[in-house]
Amino acid sequence: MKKYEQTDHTADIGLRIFGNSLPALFANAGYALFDTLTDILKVSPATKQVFRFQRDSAEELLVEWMGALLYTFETEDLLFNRFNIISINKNSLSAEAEGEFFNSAVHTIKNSVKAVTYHKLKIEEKNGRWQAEVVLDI
Amino acid sequence: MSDKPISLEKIDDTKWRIEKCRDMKTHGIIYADEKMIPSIKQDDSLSQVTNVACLPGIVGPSMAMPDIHCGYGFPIGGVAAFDLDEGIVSPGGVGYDINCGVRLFKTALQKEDISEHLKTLVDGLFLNIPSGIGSKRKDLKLSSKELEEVLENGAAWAVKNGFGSYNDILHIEDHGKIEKADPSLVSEKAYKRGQPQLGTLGSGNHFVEIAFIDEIYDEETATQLGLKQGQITVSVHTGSRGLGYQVCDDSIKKMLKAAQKYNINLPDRQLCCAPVNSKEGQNYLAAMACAANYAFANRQIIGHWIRETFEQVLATNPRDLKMELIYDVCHNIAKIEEHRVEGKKKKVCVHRKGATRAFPPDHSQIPDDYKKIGQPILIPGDMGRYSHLLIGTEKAMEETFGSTCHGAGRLMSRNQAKKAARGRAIYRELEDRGIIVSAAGRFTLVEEMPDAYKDVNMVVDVVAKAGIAKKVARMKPLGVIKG
Repeated sequence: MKKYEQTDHTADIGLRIFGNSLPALFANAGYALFDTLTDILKVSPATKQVFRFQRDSAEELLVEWMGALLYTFETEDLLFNRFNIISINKNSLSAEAEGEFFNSAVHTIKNSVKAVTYHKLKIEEKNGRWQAEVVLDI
Repeated sequence: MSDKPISLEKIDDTKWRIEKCRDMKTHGIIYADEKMIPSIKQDDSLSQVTNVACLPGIVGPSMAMPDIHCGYGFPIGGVAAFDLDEGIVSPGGVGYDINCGVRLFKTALQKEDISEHLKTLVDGLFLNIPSGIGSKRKDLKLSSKELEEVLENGAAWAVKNGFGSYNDILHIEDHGKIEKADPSLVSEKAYKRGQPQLGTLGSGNHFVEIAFIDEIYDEETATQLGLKQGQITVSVHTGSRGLGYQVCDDSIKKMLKAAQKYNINLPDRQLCCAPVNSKEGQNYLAAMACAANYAFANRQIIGHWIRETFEQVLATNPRDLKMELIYDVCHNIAKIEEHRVEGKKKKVCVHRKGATRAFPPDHSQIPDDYKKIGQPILIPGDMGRYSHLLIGTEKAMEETFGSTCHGAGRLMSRNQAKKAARGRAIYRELEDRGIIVSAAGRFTLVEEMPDAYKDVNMVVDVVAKAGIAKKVARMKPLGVIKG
């Protein structure tokens, strides 16, 4: 199953993320973010970080999760490639991300992402298939 | 609302009206010419103009400049003013890159003075100004206390610490410092992002550009600004970096709650907001001011390194180089300003998201030496064509809360640009046009290629014809460093 696709947006990048469950959707959102940022196949799972959040809705949790991954990349130079959702409901998330420190000899940066926005943010479920729409500010 | 086609009614050759309907509290006005309309209709930007018109306490129309394109929440190129008692302030009306802006220097150099040194100058700038994603400085790591001073004092902090001179401050919008900045409202996360990034260009559409004056439209104003044909100019386009993005992100979370608290109906979450005079509204403005001040300091510091680079490469000194700041403008900001509304003076909260302040001659908030001519406005184009220097007008005060366009405006999405660039060597194409480019990211050059943007000449012609700015001079790029 396709993890995500990019949607056209004049100035920024839209992501349509898929998953066969809510945890899979969130894991694929992490993947989509880092696949947008870098060549994710060149990232190895050498170190692990744990993330925990509480928010008012699943949509807000998604922005929080992707935003926290982006913040960790920017402040700690960590690129992630594996995402494990430990538990999730519509108000709280507990997850792990695995990756390694950015190394300019190995990794390339494809796009600079300023932020994960709330613009047209949407999570939908139809017959057990989940889909989310997120716009990244570039 | 965004699913229905929006009908535009032509007012004249440069203005279009969106009639008030459904939840809109006012009409929309788009500044554009006939040729621009099909591309404007292609993305969501018009529905974003109508969404802004739904927000409480909007004063005057929800406006968009000719460089309008789809943003998130507010359109890029959007201008909207709100009543201080009934209206709102929205972080989405400013954007993530708070006080993204442009500064322009003039020099005593003519085009032929640098032609042999151009490559060395571009390489020198690229070396001296950290650029690219996550760019950090190794030699300017601020302590929390120092960063707090930057957030309070903006460009003045940079001058006090040896970056540039007091004269620069006089030629920066709001003297490089927005009042009522409160660093205690800036999160630890924002501090962490901001500390290593002061004095960095960043990536995307941010740049430093060496250009020459290739056409003068208003000889008298150009002379007063000390500009002549063939003269070398240098411009900087950057903003508040990760600190600003974090301030925006933190504020949006608070505003989502505030919008619920104050029963504000949001057509899009990204438009979340709070009454201007509420605690949440005031706190946002105070945190936004901190990020804006950081951006002023950032451009001031980068400006200093540009001067140093020119002095080193050309083996000259500040007295002979005469690299003086013409002006420094914000193009993502919300401000409390006094305007004339229905014949009466009134303070309003003006949001400019991808729009520039364009104050006329004699306005109290422009530098004394520009009082006669009006406020300079700097309009960068794409890296292959032109940039423009405009001046503010009385008509902008009457129609657009003293605002005008901010740039060329994107035409293609990044994916479209990548497709259009397939099989082409953008670097070589620019070189063939006589433009040397140094870019930190190999993808940036493709996404930012000239064809991805509207022709800035067309954008500028619309605002000039509409009278919301006056054309003074056009600059053609020679050397560009991109993030």
